[in-house]
Amino acid sequence: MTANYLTYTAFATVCLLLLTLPFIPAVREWLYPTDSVALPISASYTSDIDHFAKRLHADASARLGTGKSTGYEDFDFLTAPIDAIDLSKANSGKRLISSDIQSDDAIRCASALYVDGSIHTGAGSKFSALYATGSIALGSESEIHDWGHADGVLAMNNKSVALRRISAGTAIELGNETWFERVQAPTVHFGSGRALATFPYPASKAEASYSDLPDVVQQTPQLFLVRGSCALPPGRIYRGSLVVTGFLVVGQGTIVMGDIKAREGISIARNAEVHGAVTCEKRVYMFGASRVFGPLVSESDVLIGANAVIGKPDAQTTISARNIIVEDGVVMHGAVWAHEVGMVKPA
Amino acid sequence: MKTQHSRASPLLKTGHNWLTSMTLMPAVWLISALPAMAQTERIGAPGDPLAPIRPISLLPTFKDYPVAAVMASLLCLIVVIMTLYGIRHFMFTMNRLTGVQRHPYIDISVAQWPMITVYIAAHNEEKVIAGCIDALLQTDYPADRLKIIPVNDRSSDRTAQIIDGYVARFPSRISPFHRTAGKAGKSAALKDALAFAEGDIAIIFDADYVPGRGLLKQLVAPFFDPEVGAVMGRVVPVNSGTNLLTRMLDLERSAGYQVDQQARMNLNLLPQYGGTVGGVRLSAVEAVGGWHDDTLAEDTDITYRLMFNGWKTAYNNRSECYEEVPEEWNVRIKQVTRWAKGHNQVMARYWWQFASSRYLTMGQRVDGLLLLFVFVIPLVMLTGWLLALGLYFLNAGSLLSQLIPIFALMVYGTLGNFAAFFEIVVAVLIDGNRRRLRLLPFNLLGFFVSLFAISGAIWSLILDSILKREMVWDKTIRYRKDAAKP
Repeated sequence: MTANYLTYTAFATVCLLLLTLPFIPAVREWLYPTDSVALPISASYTSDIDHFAKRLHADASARLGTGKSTGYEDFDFLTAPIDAIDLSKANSGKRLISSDIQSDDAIRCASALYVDGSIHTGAGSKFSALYATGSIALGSESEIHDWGHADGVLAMNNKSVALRRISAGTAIELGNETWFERVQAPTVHFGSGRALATFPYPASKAEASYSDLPDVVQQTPQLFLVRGSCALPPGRIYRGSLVVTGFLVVGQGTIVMGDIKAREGISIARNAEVHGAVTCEKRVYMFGASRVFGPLVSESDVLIGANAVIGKPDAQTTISARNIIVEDGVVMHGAVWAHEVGMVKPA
Repeated sequence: MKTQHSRASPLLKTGHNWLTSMTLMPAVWLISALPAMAQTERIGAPGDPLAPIRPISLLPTFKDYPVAAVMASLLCLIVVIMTLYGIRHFMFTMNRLTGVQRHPYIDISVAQWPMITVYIAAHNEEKVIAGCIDALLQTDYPADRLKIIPVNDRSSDRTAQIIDGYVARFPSRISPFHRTAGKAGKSAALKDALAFAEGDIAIIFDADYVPGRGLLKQLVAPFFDPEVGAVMGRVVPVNSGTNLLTRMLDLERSAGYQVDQQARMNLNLLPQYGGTVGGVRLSAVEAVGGWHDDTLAEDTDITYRLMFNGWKTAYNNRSECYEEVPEEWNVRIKQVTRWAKGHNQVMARYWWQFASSRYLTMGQRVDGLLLLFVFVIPLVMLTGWLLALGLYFLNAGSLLSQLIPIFALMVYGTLGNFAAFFEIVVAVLIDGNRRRLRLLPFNLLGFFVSLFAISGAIWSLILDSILKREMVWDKTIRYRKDAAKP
């Protein structure tokens, strides 16, 4: 009997100890806080693509005496012009400032390079970070590893690689078989830059209503929902937005004056136009010469056919997807963000 | 005649020293539970030690022990429910650790941004309203597409003067809405103010929130998806380091947003619109019956009506904004009580419409119902504990002894009411913090406070309904010390 009481007492004591033990560090942390600061949120945070470029520009301007000091870092100066330089060894760890650079040979630079003017280099050039107040023109098979920005035009010839982010004040030109991640400019030309053959499409378009579609529900005066897959016939004009729970096909030459969304995939046929946003949880196909003027968001892949246009010069927009394949001749106004891979494919 | 017989452990019968007891404690615990786990009876003459043994039923039968049988059945049901909640928390946490993270709209940085109206809900907010307006004036959202409406709901302090000071300086950007009469409460004030919205999107902040420069674009971007009816950002306590309560709430918020909400977004379930740091599509609100002012939880109300009418709520974990959390227990209890009453109001109104909605997948339906009933669970838990205790003392049924620890584990697993322990741990680690996790045991305290506050709220809600009492909106106290600007 006594043994039983002892056992129960021991059991209770151990239970109490086990329960109490975690409170020892808890009480210490309560009385002597070591980690109590609020989660930091930057009040000035934005998703601007040229964030790093702006910062380098501010730092370099300060160093050149044309702007306020940022107190961020020191700079080395590079004498210009140069022809072919391997900067990766001589200047590691320092950022560089240069005037115009014109070279037919490859230039490799492991440091951030600020060019007060323009830079034109030969094939096989490599930069970690590059800023030019003028334009940037890199030969074929060139690489930008971190970010690149030109106040004018940024051009990368065929088979180049632009990892992370590149931006430009005027335009970006990416040659065929160029790989990219995040690109932003008022105008982005993909491929050879020449317009390919266009496709004929019906000149006259008939007004149509979503309410005529099968299995459709009107959610609001401007929004319709189709349960299942849906095909919008060619050569029509639809006004309002459409959500489709299956796969959506926008017929050839059809114009949608609103937003569209489909959960299983979207196919926008040749010469079709969507004047609003395109949102899809799966793959989006934009066939040749089709046009989308609003944001194009896919949680999977986007394939954009030759001569397609996204956005307008005066109404820039965004494409975001896991993988983006763009054919020769596509023009984009705004930002392109390929989370895994973006590639320019010859038509 | 049947004689109940416990098969006692040999270890308990033989003498053994203290050290042995300590070392073998887990085994002792298991063995001591055996009598209940393996109750048996001898067949044959009473007192015959050689009579054959056979187990009695695992649960008390309705015939022999009707009361205990009903209690045990109820307890079983509660254990199943708690297990469901436990699995749900576990799934969410594992999803955040190993699943694909969905942030589909966060990359929309360039677009033709639509006209929006930003509402600041304010009732006696002289300490904080200036900070919120200042922050909104500095956002990178195009000024010509942004209208700011501070909703001054019958303030008796300097809130109105402060707002008018800003209006004088920025007449084209700020349109004040001074409310001097009408139904009390945030939902009623917002309902009146929504009539003055420009554009189809209303973004709503409480007055103590300080939105960052890029926050509005992040909150508006999901509305490019025509299926999105509401958007929610992440709330981060700014006064987390003030005292033990705020530190515990910081842990809880972290789990609620970093894991719970984001996992629901990842799994295409139902993230919840929280009434602040978020927005709604006004045409969608109109389509589902308009803004309701007869609820204490207008955010939950609108979330569920949107959901079962085919709209989606998008959660954006990177759209972070500071808020103040309660620094005093009585304030916290009032806050939880208000949430519980409001949430349960919504549950009572819409659970069937939600359960039978044709727009939802099975996963969305289950998750939404679990979320809908979450403020009933504390009362269920309490009931479960009482049943377990009662049954233990009745010594009814052997399976019960297995259920009690399982039940305890599940209660432990869902501790923190919304934020289970492992959710908190993972959330805090994802946030890049670590040592604050030492405070985790104290959440037991917060849990018990919430448990009884919510249970009390449920009774109060029932009484409100019976006695036809009007529910009162309890405003959360602000703690900011810095003086208000004109």
